[in-house]
Amino acid sequence: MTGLMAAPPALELSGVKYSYRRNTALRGVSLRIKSGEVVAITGASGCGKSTLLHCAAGILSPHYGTVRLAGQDVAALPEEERARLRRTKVGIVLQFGQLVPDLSLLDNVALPLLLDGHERAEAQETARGWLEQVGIADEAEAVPAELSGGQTQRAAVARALVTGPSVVLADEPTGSLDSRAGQELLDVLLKSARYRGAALVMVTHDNLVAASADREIRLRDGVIQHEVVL
Amino acid sequence: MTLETLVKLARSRTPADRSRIQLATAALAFSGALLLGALRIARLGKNELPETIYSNYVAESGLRAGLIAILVILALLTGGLAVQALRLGTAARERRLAALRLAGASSKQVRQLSVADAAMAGLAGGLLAGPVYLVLSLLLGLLPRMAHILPGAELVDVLIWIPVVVITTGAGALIGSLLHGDELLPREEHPAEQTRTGIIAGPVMIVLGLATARWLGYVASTVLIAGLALCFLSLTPMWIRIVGARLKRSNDPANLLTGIRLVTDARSSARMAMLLGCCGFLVGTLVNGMVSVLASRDEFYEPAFYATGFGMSVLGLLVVVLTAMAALIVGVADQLVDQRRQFACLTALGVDVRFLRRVIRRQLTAIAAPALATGLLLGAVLGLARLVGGAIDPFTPTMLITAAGLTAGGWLLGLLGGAAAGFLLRNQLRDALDPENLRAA
Amino acid sequence: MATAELVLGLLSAGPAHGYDVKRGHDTWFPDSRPLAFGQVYTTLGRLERDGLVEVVDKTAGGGPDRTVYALTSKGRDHLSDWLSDPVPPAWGSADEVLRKLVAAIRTGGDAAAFLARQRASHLRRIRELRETPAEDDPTSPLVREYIVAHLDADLRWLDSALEHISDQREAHP
Repeated sequence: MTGLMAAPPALELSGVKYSYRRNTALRGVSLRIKSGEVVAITGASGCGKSTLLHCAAGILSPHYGTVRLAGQDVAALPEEERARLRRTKVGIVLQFGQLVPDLSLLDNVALPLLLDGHERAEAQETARGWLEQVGIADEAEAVPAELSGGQTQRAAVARALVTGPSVVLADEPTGSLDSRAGQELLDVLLKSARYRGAALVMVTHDNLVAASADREIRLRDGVIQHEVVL
Repeated sequence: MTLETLVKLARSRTPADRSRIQLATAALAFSGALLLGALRIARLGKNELPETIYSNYVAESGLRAGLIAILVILALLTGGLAVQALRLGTAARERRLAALRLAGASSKQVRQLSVADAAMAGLAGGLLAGPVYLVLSLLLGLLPRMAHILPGAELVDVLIWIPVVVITTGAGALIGSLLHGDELLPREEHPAEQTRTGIIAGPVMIVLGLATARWLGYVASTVLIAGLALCFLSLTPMWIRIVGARLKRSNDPANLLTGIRLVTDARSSARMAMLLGCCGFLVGTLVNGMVSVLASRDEFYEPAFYATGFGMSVLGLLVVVLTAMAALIVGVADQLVDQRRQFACLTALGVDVRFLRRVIRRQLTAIAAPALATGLLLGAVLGLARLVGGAIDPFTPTMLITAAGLTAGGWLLGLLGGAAAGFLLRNQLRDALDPENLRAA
Repeated sequence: MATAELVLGLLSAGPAHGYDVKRGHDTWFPDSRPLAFGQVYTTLGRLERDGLVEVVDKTAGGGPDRTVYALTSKGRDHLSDWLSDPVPPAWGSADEVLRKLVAAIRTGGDAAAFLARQRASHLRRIRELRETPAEDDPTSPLVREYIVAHLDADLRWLDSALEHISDQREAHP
């Protein structure tokens, strides 16, 4: 590796701290995620894993420390740029509540592209490709309320990947699904991220999800308790 | 974002949102119609016109300018109603905006969506303004000639319709842009010291105004009204505390919840009560003035003339009253959105939309009815003459009957307002109780 | 362990050599430890003694591996009884992981480090299983899911054990 300019890690957190009013959720977390890596972040409830993910996604600004996406410091950017980053370089999948209820699946998946200024026809074509990739192309015209939890989560995965991000951040992606739907979603998520070459960071308390990662980082009380390579 | 995307994303509406846009469009349509009227009358030129065809207000060039001004003011006031309608937030809208932000919409883009949303309501309103104007002038045409303040339309008036559409669309966009900034900041609380000074200063100013009306004319009137406003502002919180305490001791859960919500929202309720009370007072004095003119046998007074003039003022004031009540309702709706998670939890306890409607109705009636009734009573009893320092007429039975009627009418209006709120907000209420609110993105 | 009843089940399709019984078992339970020949023949011998299985063919000059066994009607009844009875819930089994952990704590060893390593090992095994898809026959997916579910259950317990030990360590440093 010496003498080579190593590519910057897809995601890097250094000394990140975050507090909610009276309670400190993150007390100095540093980690580095390589491009294409699959990492699981685990820990008991309240250990700060969701907060960590939100800081990585640029939804929350850490009170201390830096977050770097492909080498670029996220917190230093103005709000407009951060939103653009969220659109193009980062894909986010949450447990629920992320699709716009009155848009069709196709429009929902195309949404990041539309917000980025692409023409509707072009955005929809790309979106359709991803709907096929995740296996719900038949439901393109349906609205979220008409679909099952597993299907909406797949749409969320498609939306996260539609702009070709370098990192996909997933917060309990299988949390609201039963074990069969959860496993199917996990497969879809892994396959899609690998297809895109994106790093995948999953916050989870589901061991099956954790088992599919290359590396597990366990948090406890806002700090990293241990890291294992799987 | 391309224009197509902007329209698509801004337009998409949940059912609870629809009433918000419909109200705003209606208000802007009315506003546009009034503007059309003003422009139409302006088109008549500066010369005198035959009083056999037109109303005096239109025919006499001196009065014409005043009429145009009044129509423009009324249009602005109705625009105020549109502001209240657009202020109406819904829990569904909040969830939708959260989902959009998650997909990467920046604050600027969300603002653009709000502006586009409101602008489209303005556009629709402007387009409706034409037909509304025609209907209004037709309706007024059924009244005696003096009341024909809207002189119909000719084909060429389609040309003045176009700028009106542009204005309403622009107004909508402006409102959308201004409102968006407000949403994010929490309102600040002012200390309660105001109450004590108000209770003393208010009545003092009222007495001052009454006493000096004969010499200081409109200045005295302004002092009187300002004093009245202060009284309402300071007394309402006390009233709320009394009513709230009594309700909280009740066995009826609806009353209990009403009492709690009254006390929580005391400050904005006091402001609304002040507005309602003052408008009620002014309407009361104007009606008093109108009655005395109509009852007078003096040939100098042409009843229709003054009736029309008073009528327009009353109309203007009613628009303000409606706007104030709308603001009150919107305040309640805002609470529903802010506290949607708490409300969603209530569903587990069997709270349904009907129950909440009862609570909302009682909450609004407790504020609106006394304010309106008191204002109207004071206004009708004091009379226009005392207000502006003119010749004071003694109390006649007609006056007292008018006063009683107005008071009852005011109370009724307050009750109706409460009931209307429950009806208008039914979608928002259903939305606030939706268990979806318990899942947060 | 019900190995005897399992063998009865393996013979229910028709008479077979001991070798076929072993092979059948390994096909039915592809992710488990293969059945040892010794165990097969011991079990067959016992079943024959109890009259649940009988010898139907003996190739001349062969040992037990040349014998063909078949179910008796008593054996068939026994099998169907076994298949219809529910299994009583297991006692807390003295699994080796449990034994190691208890011993580590009781003897003052580094339980947390052991738990972390055990956890990693379980996770790796789950990943192996999930990476190779199960055979597409009626029972292999079920077997796979059983194993994964139990590994998952073990992991959950390992998690709570880890939390418990960390709490204790913080309370009494």
